[in-house]
Amino acid sequence: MKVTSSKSYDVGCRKNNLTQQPNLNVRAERGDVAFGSAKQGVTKVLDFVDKKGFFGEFLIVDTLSLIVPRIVIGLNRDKEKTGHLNYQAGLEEAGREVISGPSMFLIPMGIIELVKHLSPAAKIQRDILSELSASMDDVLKNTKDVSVLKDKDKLSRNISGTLFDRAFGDYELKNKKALKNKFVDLLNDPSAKIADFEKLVVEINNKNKSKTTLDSHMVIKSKNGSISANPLFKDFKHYSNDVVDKFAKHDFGKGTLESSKEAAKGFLEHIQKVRRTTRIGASVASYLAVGAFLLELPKLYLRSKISPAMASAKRARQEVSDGGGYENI
Amino acid sequence: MKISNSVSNATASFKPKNSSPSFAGAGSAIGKGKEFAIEFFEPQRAGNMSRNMFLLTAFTFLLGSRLIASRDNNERRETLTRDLPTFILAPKGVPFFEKIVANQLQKRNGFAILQNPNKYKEGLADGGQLADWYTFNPQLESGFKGFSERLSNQGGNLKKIYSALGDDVKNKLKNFSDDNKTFMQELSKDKELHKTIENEFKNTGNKAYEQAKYLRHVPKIAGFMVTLGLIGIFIPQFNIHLTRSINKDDARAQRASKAKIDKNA
Repeated sequence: MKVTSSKSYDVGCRKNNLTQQPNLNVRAERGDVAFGSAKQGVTKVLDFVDKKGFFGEFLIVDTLSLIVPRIVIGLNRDKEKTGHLNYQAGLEEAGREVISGPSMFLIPMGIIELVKHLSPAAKIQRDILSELSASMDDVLKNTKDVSVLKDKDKLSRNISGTLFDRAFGDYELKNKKALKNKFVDLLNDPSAKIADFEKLVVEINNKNKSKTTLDSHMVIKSKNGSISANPLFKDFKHYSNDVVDKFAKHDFGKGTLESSKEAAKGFLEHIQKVRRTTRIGASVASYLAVGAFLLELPKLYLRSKISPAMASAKRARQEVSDGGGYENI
Repeated sequence: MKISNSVSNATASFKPKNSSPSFAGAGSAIGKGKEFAIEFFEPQRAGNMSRNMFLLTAFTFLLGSRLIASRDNNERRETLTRDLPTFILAPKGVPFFEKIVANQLQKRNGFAILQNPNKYKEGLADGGQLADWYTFNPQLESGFKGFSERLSNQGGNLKKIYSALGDDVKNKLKNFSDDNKTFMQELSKDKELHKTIENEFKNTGNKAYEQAKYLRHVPKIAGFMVTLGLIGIFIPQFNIHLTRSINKDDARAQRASKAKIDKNA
């Protein structure tokens, strides 16, 4: 996003030496303090929920807003008519809602974890796989030494260097070369910490003279939005240990540089196609596995032959037979 | 059931930069169809299903299994009246409502909390972006000017945002303009106030950031209340009431019919 300048603002900022910083004197009313504390409390709780990730957030929110109320309503079904809690209705609600929702997440997550052990690159998000493939393509196109293709570490470093160029090539940066080297080192060092990589990406984005970043953790824009430092760091390792490793071990023949490059390109497309197919296969397997589980699930919690709905219907009819039941509650 | 788009949580929605084309001729119908299929089946982070696949699973297997397992017509009807609205509201209705709330909050409060101020359907900014927008990192090459312009470009009202830093600052900004460009010019003339505000934004616990974080959570609170009120409480209660009502009406009709037959006999 282009940031436009404001000349008089610039001039104003450069004038005068600022030596003293006046204290901010915050005079708050008691009510304001209480409301402020309540807001902070709410923010803290919801920040905590946010940090739990998508599944964690689903579990917490779904439990409180849907599962618990429905179980309570189930337990109290027709309580005013029977004089006691309706344990059958409560248990069936619990069985239905507690298990079915989370299973739609846990089963696919389990399947993709299994698949990851066979093929780590299958876990890589599509947009990241696409970017890493594009970087790999560029390395292949530009390589002048076929021996690089057989050296996993060199290849991996070249890919991460190309990724840097694709991500930050149009950035105006002081010490761009040093930043690039650090970027490559952190992605390829097995002992490197994710926090250091994130810190570097933030530094690169903030030091860019050509624009003010909207998201300092962003590495590169993708089809669906952008790729952030955290997932890229993790997925690069999977890519390097799977795709790059297999690639480096493959024999591309002893022909010319161009023929080796052609063979390499074909092999790369093959690996990447296999990875994409594996991901889609895992997704279809998830759909079928979740489907099979959900079809069998009712047998677990439906123990009685008479449903709570039928029991409630019978009670309603009985009220009418007994001469009452003029109201519809 | 809360279902939100797991993709939107992690990334900002910008126009793509140098993305590699996935398919040649993506403009063609076949290309678009292929692309739709890939997006449909593509697992999200941590292996979650795509939103559309989740919906398909819910409608086919979740609803289907409950209908198949129904022991009688009352239960079958209750499954439809309880679960069908739930599967429509939870993944589509509630998230859309949250985006409308977020858009209104941004307009009324002047705090930038949307990914794109001109397209509220793109949803909320994520926590990391909010941290960038509301805490001033001295490393930022464009300086506090760039920091302010970024907030302005994201649809924020600088006077309202900066006033949230504290009562003292708020009083001093009382007569400043509501227009961001004019505001920035006026602020540049008051060096002391400018420096105070800049220093306050360096603090990662500053009150404007706290307010922005809170406002970002408000749509989710609103969504939670709608889910609780409508899907958690109203729909099940309505379901129970409907069963009783239908059966009572039916019993009364049978009673009236029997009385008529007895009378004629």
